[in-house]
Parts: sequence; structure tokens; C-alpha cells
Amino acid sequence: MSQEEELHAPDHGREDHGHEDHDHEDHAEHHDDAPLADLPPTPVHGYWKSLRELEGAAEFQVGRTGHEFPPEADQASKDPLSRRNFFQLMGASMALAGVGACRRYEKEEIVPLARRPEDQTPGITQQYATAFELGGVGHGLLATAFEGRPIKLDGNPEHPFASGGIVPGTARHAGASTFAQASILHLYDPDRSQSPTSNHGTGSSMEAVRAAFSDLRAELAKVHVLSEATSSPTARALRTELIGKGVTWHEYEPLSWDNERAGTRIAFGDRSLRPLAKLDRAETIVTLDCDIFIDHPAALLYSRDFARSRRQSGSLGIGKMNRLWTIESVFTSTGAMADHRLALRAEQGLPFAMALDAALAGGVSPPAEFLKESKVEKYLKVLVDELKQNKGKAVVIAGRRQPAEVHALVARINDSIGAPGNTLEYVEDPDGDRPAHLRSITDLAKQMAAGQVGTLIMIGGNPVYDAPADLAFGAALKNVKTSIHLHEYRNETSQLATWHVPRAHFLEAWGDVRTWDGTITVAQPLIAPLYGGLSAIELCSLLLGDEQNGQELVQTAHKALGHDAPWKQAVHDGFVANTRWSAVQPSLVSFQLPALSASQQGGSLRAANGELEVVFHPSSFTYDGRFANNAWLWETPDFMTKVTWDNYALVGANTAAALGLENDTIIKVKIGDREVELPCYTIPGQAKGSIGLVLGGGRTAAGRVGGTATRSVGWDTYKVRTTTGWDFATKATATPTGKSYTLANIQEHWDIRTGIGSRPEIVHDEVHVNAEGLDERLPELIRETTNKTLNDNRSWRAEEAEGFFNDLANAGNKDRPGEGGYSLFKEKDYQGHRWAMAIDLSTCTGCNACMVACQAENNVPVVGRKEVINNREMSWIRIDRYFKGSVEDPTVVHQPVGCQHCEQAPCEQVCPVGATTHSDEGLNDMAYNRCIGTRYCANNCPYKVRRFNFLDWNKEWREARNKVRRLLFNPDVTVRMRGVMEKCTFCVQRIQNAKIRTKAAVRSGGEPGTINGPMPDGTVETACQQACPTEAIVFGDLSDKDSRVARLHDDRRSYALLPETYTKPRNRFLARIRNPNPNLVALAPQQGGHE
Amino acid sequence: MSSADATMDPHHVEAGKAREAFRAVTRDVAWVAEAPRPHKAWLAALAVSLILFAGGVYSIYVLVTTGIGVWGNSNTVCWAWDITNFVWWIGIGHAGTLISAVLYLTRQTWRVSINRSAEAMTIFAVMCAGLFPLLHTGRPWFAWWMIPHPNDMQMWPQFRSPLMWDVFAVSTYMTTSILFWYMGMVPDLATFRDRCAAKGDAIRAIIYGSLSLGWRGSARQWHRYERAYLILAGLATPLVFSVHSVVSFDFATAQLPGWHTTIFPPYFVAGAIFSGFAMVFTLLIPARHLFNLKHIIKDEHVEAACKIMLATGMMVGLAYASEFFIAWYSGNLFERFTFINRAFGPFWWAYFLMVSCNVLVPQAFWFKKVRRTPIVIFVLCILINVGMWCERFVIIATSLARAFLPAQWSYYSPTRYDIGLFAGTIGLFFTLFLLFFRFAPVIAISEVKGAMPEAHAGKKH
Repeated sequence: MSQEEELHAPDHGREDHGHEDHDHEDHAEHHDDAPLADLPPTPVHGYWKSLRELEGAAEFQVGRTGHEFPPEADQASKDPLSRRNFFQLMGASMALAGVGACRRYEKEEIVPLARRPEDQTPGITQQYATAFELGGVGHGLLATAFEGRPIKLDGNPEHPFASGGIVPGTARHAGASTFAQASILHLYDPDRSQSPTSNHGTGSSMEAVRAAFSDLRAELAKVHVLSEATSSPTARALRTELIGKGVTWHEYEPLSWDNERAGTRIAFGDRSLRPLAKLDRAETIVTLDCDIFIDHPAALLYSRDFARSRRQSGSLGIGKMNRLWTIESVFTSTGAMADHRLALRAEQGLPFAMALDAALAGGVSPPAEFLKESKVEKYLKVLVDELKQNKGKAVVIAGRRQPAEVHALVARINDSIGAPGNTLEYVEDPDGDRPAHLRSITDLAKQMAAGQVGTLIMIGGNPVYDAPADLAFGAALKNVKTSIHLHEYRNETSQLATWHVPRAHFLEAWGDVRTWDGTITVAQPLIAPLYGGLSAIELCSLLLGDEQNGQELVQTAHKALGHDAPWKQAVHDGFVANTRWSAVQPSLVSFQLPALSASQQGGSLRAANGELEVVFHPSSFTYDGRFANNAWLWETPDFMTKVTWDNYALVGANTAAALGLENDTIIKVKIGDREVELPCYTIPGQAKGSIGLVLGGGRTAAGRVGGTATRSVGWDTYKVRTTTGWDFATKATATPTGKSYTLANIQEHWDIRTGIGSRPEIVHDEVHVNAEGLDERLPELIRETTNKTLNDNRSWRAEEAEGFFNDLANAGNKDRPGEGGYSLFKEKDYQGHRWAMAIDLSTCTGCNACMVACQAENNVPVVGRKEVINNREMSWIRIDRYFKGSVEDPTVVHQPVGCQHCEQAPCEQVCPVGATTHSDEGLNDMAYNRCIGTRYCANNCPYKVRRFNFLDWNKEWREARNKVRRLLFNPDVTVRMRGVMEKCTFCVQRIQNAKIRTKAAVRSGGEPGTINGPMPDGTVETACQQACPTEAIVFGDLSDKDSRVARLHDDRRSYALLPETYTKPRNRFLARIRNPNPNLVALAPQQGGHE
Repeated sequence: MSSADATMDPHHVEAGKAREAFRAVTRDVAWVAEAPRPHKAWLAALAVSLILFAGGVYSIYVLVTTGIGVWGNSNTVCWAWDITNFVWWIGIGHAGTLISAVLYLTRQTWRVSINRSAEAMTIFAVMCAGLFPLLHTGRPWFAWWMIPHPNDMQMWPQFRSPLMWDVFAVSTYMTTSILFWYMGMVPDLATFRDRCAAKGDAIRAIIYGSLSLGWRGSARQWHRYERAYLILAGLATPLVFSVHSVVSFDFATAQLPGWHTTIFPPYFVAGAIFSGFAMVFTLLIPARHLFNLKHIIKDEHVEAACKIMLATGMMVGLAYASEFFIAWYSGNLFERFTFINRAFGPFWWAYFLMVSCNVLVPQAFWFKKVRRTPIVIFVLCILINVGMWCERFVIIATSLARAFLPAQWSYYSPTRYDIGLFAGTIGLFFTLFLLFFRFAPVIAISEVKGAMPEAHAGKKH
């Protein structure tokens, strides 16, 4: 296959629209490699106007040779220095200079496409199914490419895992995690390693790498491989082959789900199983130290299923919704969604599971001391009652941090409440026999330290940075004579390894992965490797000595698995249907539990130094540190803390007060004899005596964004993570250092301690909140009520049906004729489309997927830590987070806010040059090149969604080394210059594209209609909507009364933000519905809304 | 003049005395411009002003080449020092117009001693003010798009925007003020011309001669001059009220709590006059001391101005109280919070300064002793200027910093470029004012003469 074809024609793409399969033939055969002069005279387009033309008269070769005049005309100027010849030479040398600079073109010569490939229209994007893997778990993706360069990643809406509609009316929908979406930024990262290096940094070449590998091949038995986790069937096949040849294989992930496997081995007698909850069937969901929306490998599936059963008219039936019970130490997005959250130290997950087990399955009861605590006692009692009532309709999920015993107990609890077969199923773990990650790396490090490892090949990963600190992996690596590290970046591990081999980005290489349920997912490349580089499977193949390219390898593995699906189909769809693992019915065995420590037995009030617990928490920015060079992720604020560009220690507000720790100061956390200094973030709702250390900061070789030897982003918390305290550590101390450090927090720029009547020792205190006037305005901004109210009181509405403000809001409503508006200006009468959005606060988990999607779609710039502190972040959609209630047990709501596209937009009225105006379809448009930057519009926007380009945020893309980054820009969206205002456009480029497509379809004989005529609901999807795993965001046309958005706008939960400003926003929120257990009202959040 | 004749005839005696008095006025005013060497204090002041101005020019350079990001403004507080300074400077200009036009029409003869410098102050203040709306735009090189002009882009300004109204209000104000000031100066420039010519200083005579537009002091010229002056005064009078009303619309027509209030036009006008008078006397109290003009700018004049400041200060105080009352009375929680936040929120210091300087400080003017002690008045005037600056800052920044949605709340602190530009405009203002003081008739000689008792000698009956 020619290089050119790899570039331009990934196999079996689908067009932006239609999604029909184009089974086009190989284009290569149409490309002529012969020089022009030798071409047969047949006109290239295949048609001919006359016989003479067909015979190939010279003058008819014009189109061929590109001569403006017949060749004879050119003969007249044979002077070597004529103007024409001079320019020809100049042009050719310029072009050749460009060719020479393109590394990826060097293998074969480039020939322009003589014919337009069947599925490509210049200016029109194509979409290809591909896949992404994180921590050994695959995610099916749909990549959008523009003229051969991928520009956006989304969930694959046809993938059987985690796809499919939630709001009735959508069939095709798939969310995508922030990491999956942002991973495209790494493709164009100029900091990626661009060539192999040997001897700790000396430049080398792929030939040298190949030579080194052929040396290794002779004695494979002495080779150790340390791989990051992978679910790839191809990699698995290669691994088996290598192990067969004597290679010792190790696998390590710093954020591992091995505890769950180990738990099932305890519970089911040495069977490694994977529990998969079916949340769409669950009426009661209990999560034990588990963030099912962000951190779980099945987070997308769980988000979707949770949303299905959370909706009032969802999978559980009309008027019913699930109830979420969350027991956790660190406040997570799951805790924010919970109806009942219990802040409990992670180490007390075991006694809590024991208590549930004792009450439901007759197991050993935890000590009375633990049960006596009033909060736990009450919570447990009501929870047990509910689980007993909801047998077969409830499920318990434990998180990765909890020890194996907890998972075993949870298995028994699930069994006792009839979950298996109903709300839960078990599938066989594909690698049931492999040693646990922690065990594997420990063994390897010991062997390395003892000098027993001669050759170590590391496939991905960064063990020097993220292996348990007590293993001293970096030091042990020095004992290894030959160490080879394959990675996209020359990271900390590469710097200590003797060889570094650049790894191809997943969009540059063939591969396959399995999603958490086992569905085989094929990853096809969209672009030839920009900087060279091998994929993991290619490296394995190289080691085996039978060097095959990725496609051959994946195809071979695919055939070996013996599935029915043809290869082409699998590549086109991105997955092989019906390959999910089948459920097994394991039977429980009895098991013993370890003795509880003193702090586990009770004393949740213990928060003294020396008795603290430290919980290691994955980063929402870098996962485990691997995305450290991703500016999009660093600038997407954490779901709960709203901090950007740093990791930190999470300390409960009361714990902080007791220990004298303050927000925005540096504290010292000490575990055993290891200590780390990092900033303190005091957060309400963190379990007492528990400190959350966020992982993934303090990289020293991540790249220019994420940290170099001289300048790090965040703080290295792996320094205190050891094999004995890997998930969480106990007996820790935390002391203030007296140094202060400002965290770039997008929500609390002001000094929280300067409010009226504030007590400086406790931030977020209720007194303080009252003083800020939040308690009276929040019920206006975030409307909420309970499921019970909604069911019992049929007349409940989120927005008062009658009332001063609402009369205003409804004035001019077509349903209430004769009531004119109260606006100063004539109100617009909309004839055609009326674009609108609805955001359901009930199902928004605050996962940030929309923020990253918007960033990628709309070329939203990144401003950096300093400018975030200056409150100049540019995100077009933000997620506001508010706490409510007490510091100990707060509730949290998330509210995504983008431009509300007011029909009576206050911004438009005040722009002196008319740079922001209203479209006939109700969009608030922004003409960047008309904007002079008075910023009055932003002042007059009640929602503060406008973003000003205070500086030239795109300056660095003009630097030569960063030019590659510009390939990522979405060509449909203007890159804004400094001094102009910008904001959410409702993805106007997608609306216009959809209109053009509709119009084109009409012209070519499709459904009749006009440009302003109706389009099928769902034709236009905004980027945020597309990414939302719970479909909390719905976009559409209000003029279509049956559209989802129109129905949602008519819903009684629907309300406008700040209706008294009479802006008539086109975005409406749907009130948040909570579903508290009536027997636990004391713990339930207060009911808001209007009853 | 023959003294013998004068002693004979009482009329002549009186006329002679009058002539002498008139001449004294001319001399006393003109010596400032004619002194071969400037006063040392003047030089020192000019040096300081020029340094400040240079700092301002550098700040502008950095601002225009780098972007608004060099300021402390943010997405929450989009306007801060820029518009605060704009409104403050515009307000300062107001006293000039008030003194020249309104007091002229109401025949307040005490105005003549100060109207020229007050008018000059107006113009210089409006020049400083005008810099801010221009420079605060993200792309100042396109600021001309705000001017309605036929163009092939087929674009037209958006007339619903109060910023457009500002463009018209301020440019009208600027034009009228310059015309008024310049026209009033023509007879005095002619006096300067004649004196320079008499001394043989040809260059100055030519310059002053061209500026005096051929003034010969004929009765017909005087007649037309008086007519035109009256007409211009009539035109300028509504501007006293309109300009700051229009500027206040920038805020009043917005929906932001703390801005959206109908009290703003009168409140802003009162505040403008208040701060304008304070600035006039901040300048004139040292000037009349330095240039020995105490017999022209008399203590009575200063006292009258103090009374005006007392009155306008109390109007401003009433406005503050009314805002609070309405915020409470409206029952609007956002409105109520905004005002509580102003007084007790993170910007409490600005609010505190504003109330103490604008409401409490002028209360001292109840006491005659204070009104007669220039140094005290000078200090109080500076305090009032500080207070009025804080008032604009409080209105603009505190309202923006904590608007409707708490998630977007923020704080504002200025950067060195904010401070540099503000200091630069102060430097520009004083540079221009010092130059004016040195080279132009700083007191309306002809008008002072007209207002002197000697001018009405013949009318004694």
C-alpha cells in the first residue's frame, strides 16, 4: 500500500452523513506512477470530446500537463533565464524544499490524487471508527478527519458498549470521556519523541533499534517485558507467543482494578471474575468508595444506564427512578449525584461492607463501636431495609481502592439481594491467571534490584514515575544492562532506560482493544505516523523476528479468533458484534475476613495527626500522570474542586480546621518516613480524618506543558505511595508548612474568607454561605425537588405557572396570544428553525465531557494557570458547581452553563458596532471580525458566558515547532484573534453544515423541503450534546413540536435561568430531581424548587 | 495719562483709578506668561507631570502591543479602572462647563476669576477621559467603527448601545468646550499679542496674533463676541446635564444589579459637578498662591465653591441612601445583595472610602473657618477626588465582580499598567494645565474687568 494511500484513504471510512458503507475499491490502482511524458493519451477524466482528443493530439493534452498554452507556445521561450523558466525553477525548488522537510513523506514519492477518492469531498469531513485504550480498557471511538488529518474524537454511536439512546427519540448516541476526547491533542504534540535514542539520550535510528532487537532475539529467555495493561487480542496472541519462547511477562498499571478480581477469587473460589452492573434495571444502587461515572472502567456504560433508570419516565417506568447511595471518602461526582451520601474513610469500607453483609447475608458483624456512630447507624438501617425490600432490583458496586475482602463481601451482599442475573452479571476475566499488577511490579523490581534482569523491555507506562515508591524502580532500572522503553514521550522512564523507542499514537497505528464487557473493538489509523514510531504490537512482532505491520498483525489475530464478521465490516463498524463475554453463574464459597484495625473499628471522629488516612485519588487532569502534557485536560477544571493546573491534597473542611490546615497553603503529608509537600484544598464532604492525595502531578519529563526537570505542573504524590499503602495508607500526618500557594480555581477567585461574618477557621461554613447571599439565590438558579413531590403533586412546576416574573417570561408566547411582551424593543417573530437546548440537571454528572468536546470542536484556546487565576479561562461551556447544606454532609449540584441564546439578548443591545446580533433562527451570533472589544456585552450578560481574548492566546502556534499543532484546528471554526469577544455558538458550523446537507439532499431528489424547512430531529448535534454520556444535553429545533427539545421545553421540570431579566433564553434547564428515602429525611437534602 | 487732569475732575479721577486697576489686572495675569524664566515650582511640577505622562505612554505602548490582558480586567470584571477613570475624568470636566455656562447665564459674576482655568480643565479632563474608551477596546485600531460613516462594508453603528450615545455626547461636549474656551480667550490673546508686540517679541506676537483671529476690540467685535458667547453658553448649559446623564446610561440601561437603576443620571451629574469643583480648587488653590492671584481669585470665590461642593456632596449622599433604600424596597434579592456586598463585601474598603470622602468630608464646609482656610480646602478637595474615583470604582467593579451567578464571582486588582495609564493621564492633565498656565491667559482678563466694581463706576447713582 502506498504511503499516499495510507494518508488519504483509511479503510472503509464513512462519510459525515448517511453512514452508508462505501465499499470502494483500492484507489491505488488509479494512481499513475509513470512520468507524465509517457502517459497514454487518453484524457484522464475518461471522457473525450472528439475523436481527435481520443487520438491524443498534442493540444488536447493541455488538461494533462497543466499547460496554459499549447506546448508549441512554450517553445518560444526556451531561454533558460526567461521569466517563465525562472518562476518554474523557483516554484519547483520551493515545493521540493517543502517535500524535504516532511519526514513522513520520505519513504515513497507522493503523487497527487489523480481522482478524488470516492468518499472524499474537499472541505467535507469523514468519520472513521477507531478505538482508544486507557488502563487496559478499550473505548470505541469515532474519529473525524478533515482532508486526511483527524481533528476530533467522539464515542462510536453504533458500538454496543455504552452507546444508544437515553432520551426517547435518540437511537444513535454515545458519550466519550474527557481522556478519550483529549487524547487527540497528543497526536499533534510537538513534544512527542520523534526518534529512537540509545545510551540514555544519544540519537539513534530505527535501523539501530532493529539491530538491537535481532540481538535480543537470540536469547529471548532472558528478556523481561513490563507492559502496561492491554485488552488487545492481538497483543494477547503475541504475548502468548513470546512467553512460549521464554520471555517473562509483567504487567503494571498504577490505577488498577485488580482488587476486584482478587475479591471474586476469594468469594467464588479462585475464579477471576468481572462484575458488570446493569444500572438501567436497578432501583437501588449502592456504591462503596467507587466513582461509577468517572473512574470506573465501565463509567460510560454506567453513566448511560444510570441516566436511563434515573429519568422519571426511563427504564424503570413512569414516575419511578433509581436511588443512589454513595459511601465514599473523597467527594466524587458519584457522591454529587447521590441521594444519600455517607462520608466514610476508605479504610472503613471494610466494616461497612461487613455490616451490610451481616444484616443481609448473615456474615460477621463489625464491632459495635463502628455501628454505634449515629450517622452510620441510621444510614445502615435505612439502607438495609431498602435493600431487603428491593431484592432483585438493587446492586452494590465497590471501588478499586477497596481491598479484596470488601469486593468479596460485596459479591456476597449482591448475592443475598438477588443481584446476579437481574442487576448484575459476572463475566470471566480474560487474564484470570496473571499476577496482580502490584505483585507483578514488586517481583520485577526485586529481580531487577538483585541484578537478575539482563534485558527489560517496557511497553508503555512510566514505572520510574508511578511504581510504588518503596520499590525504587528507577534505581533498580540502573541494574538492568539493556532496557528498552517504548513510549510516545521520552518520559522519566525513557531517560533512565538504555533505549527509547517512539511509540505511534493510537490514531497512527492499527490495533484492537476490548471494552470492559469484552466487545472486540478495532482501531484503525487515520494518519501515517507523524514522527515515525512503532505500536506496541509492532514492537512485539519485531521482538519475535517476524516483522509484520500493524494491520497484518491485527488482521491475523482477528482471523485467529474465528469470528463471523468479515474484516472489512469490523474495521468499518469499529467493533465485532456479539463478542461480549458471556455471563457466568459462579457460586459463592465461604471465606475468612481479616481482623479490623483500631481505626477501622470506629472512631470516625479520629482526625488527629498520626491517625489520618491518605487516599490516592486518580487525577481528572492526567489520569495517573500519563496525560500530563495535555493542556486541554489541565485546564478543564476538576469536577468537584474546580481547580485547574495542579494536583493537591483534599482535606475535609473540619479536618483542616482541626489540624490547622488552610486552603491555598502548602501542607506536608507524611506517611511512615516518606513525605510530600503539596497545596491543600479544603473541600466540604471529605470524610473526617481522611486526606485525598490526587495523583498525576509533578512530572519531570512530561513535556513543555506537563513538566520538565526545571518546571513541574502539580506535585508528585507517588513519592508517598508504597506497596503497603498503595490504595490508601493509614497512620499519616499532615502539618502546615506556613507557605502559601494559590490554586488556579475557576470558581473561587475571590478570597473566601473575606465575606461578612465569616469565621476564618472554617471555609464554606453555613454562616459564610448565608453571608454570601447564596442560600437565597441558589434555589432560584438551581431548581430541584424530589421524585415524591413530582409524583404526588401533579401541578408542580419548576417555574411558577403564575407570578410576576413568569408572566413576563411567557409574554409573547404563542400559546398565550394577546399578551404582548414587556420588552422595550419589538420582539422577533421566528418563522423557520428555532434552535434551542435543554439541559437536564438530574442526569448531569459533572463529568466534563462537554467541556473537552467544546474545546476540540470550537478551537477554544488554553490560557494557562496564571491566566486562570486572573479569571480569563476561555471555556465556552462551563460547569458551575454549588455546595448546599452543612460542611460535613453537603449536597452538590452541577449546572452546565453555555450561552443561553436569549431571544431578548442583553449583549446584543449594548454592542456599539453590532458585532453580536440575532439570527433569524434565534441564535445569538458573534461576528469576530466586527468586534472591537468594548466588552460591554460581557458586562451585560447575566450568565457571564462571554469570553474575551485578553491576550493573543494562539500566539505560540506561530512558532515553528508548534506548527504541527495547527493541524488540529477545526477548519469550520474561526481561530479568534486577540481583542475580540467569543462565546458558545450552539455549534453554528454544525447547524450550517446540516442545512447545506439537507439542501443538497433536496436538490438531488431527497425529501422535499427548503433550506428553512424541517430537518429530522437529531440532524444537528452540538459537540457538548454529542459527548454527554448521559444525554443530559439535548439540542434541536423548537419549530418542530415533536422534537425532543420542544418536548423537554414543555416539561414541567423546565425552567429558564434568571427569568426576571426577561432574556427569554433558548436554553432551558430541567430541574434536578432527587429521590431520597423517606425514612432518611434527616440526611436527605433540603427540597428546593416551588411546591 | 496726565495726572493733573485726573486730579481736577472726580470722574477723571475715578476713571484713572479704574484704568489703573484694569491695567493691574492685565499685568497681574500677563506676567505669568511674560516672565522670562518660569517659576521653579512650575518647572518641578512640569517635570513630575512629564515623568508620569511618559509612564502613561509606555503603558499605552505595552497595552496596544500586548492586549487588554496586561490590565487586571477579567471575564467577570470586564470593565474596571479603564471605565472608572473615564467616568471620573468626564466628571471632573463638568465643573468647567458649569462655571462657564450655567453660572454665566445665572449672572454669577464670581465665576470670572476661575472660569478660564475651569474651562481649560474641562478640555484637558475630557482629553484624558477620551483616552480610556479608545484604549480599553480590544482592538483600538478599529475604534473608528463607532463613528457613523458611509463605508463599503455596509456597516453602521448600533444605535441602541449606550456606548454609541457616549460617542456623540462626549464628542459634542469636547467640541463645545473647546469652542467656548477658545472663543472666550480671543480678546485676552489679543491683549497678549499687543503686549508682546509692544515689547518687540515678534515670534510670540505672531503666535498670539494668529490665535487672536484679528481681534481689535472694536465695539462691533465686542457686540458679536458677547452674542456668540451667550449663544455658546446657552448651548453648553444642557451639556452639563446631558453628558454625564448619557455616561450614566452606560450603566443604567444595563441589567446588572448595581447598574440598573433610574437614579443614575441626576446622581452622576451631581457627582460630576462635585468632583469637578473639587478638581478646580485642587488646581487653583496652589496656583493662585504660586502666581500671586489672590486678589483676583478671591476668598469669596473659593467660599462660594465650597458651598457648591457641600450641596452636591449632600446630593450624592442622598443618592447613596436612596440606592440602598430602593435595593431593600424592591425586594429583588440580587439588587439587595449587590448593595450589601458593596458595603460589606470584599470591596468594602472602596465603599468606605467613597462614603467618608464624599459624604462625611464635605460636611466640614458647614464651617466658615474651613471655607476660609485654603490649605484645608485643598486637602478636602483631594479627598473628594479620591472619594469620587472610588464611587465610580464601586459602581463598576463591585457590581461586576459579584453579579447574578455566584460561580462566576471574582475579585479585581489592578496591574502596574492600570496604574501606569491612570497616572499617565494625571501626568498629561497636569502637563497640559501647566503649559496652559504658562502660555495662555489663565484668567479671563476682559471678563474680570467687566466684573470689577470699577467697571460699574459710572452707574453709581
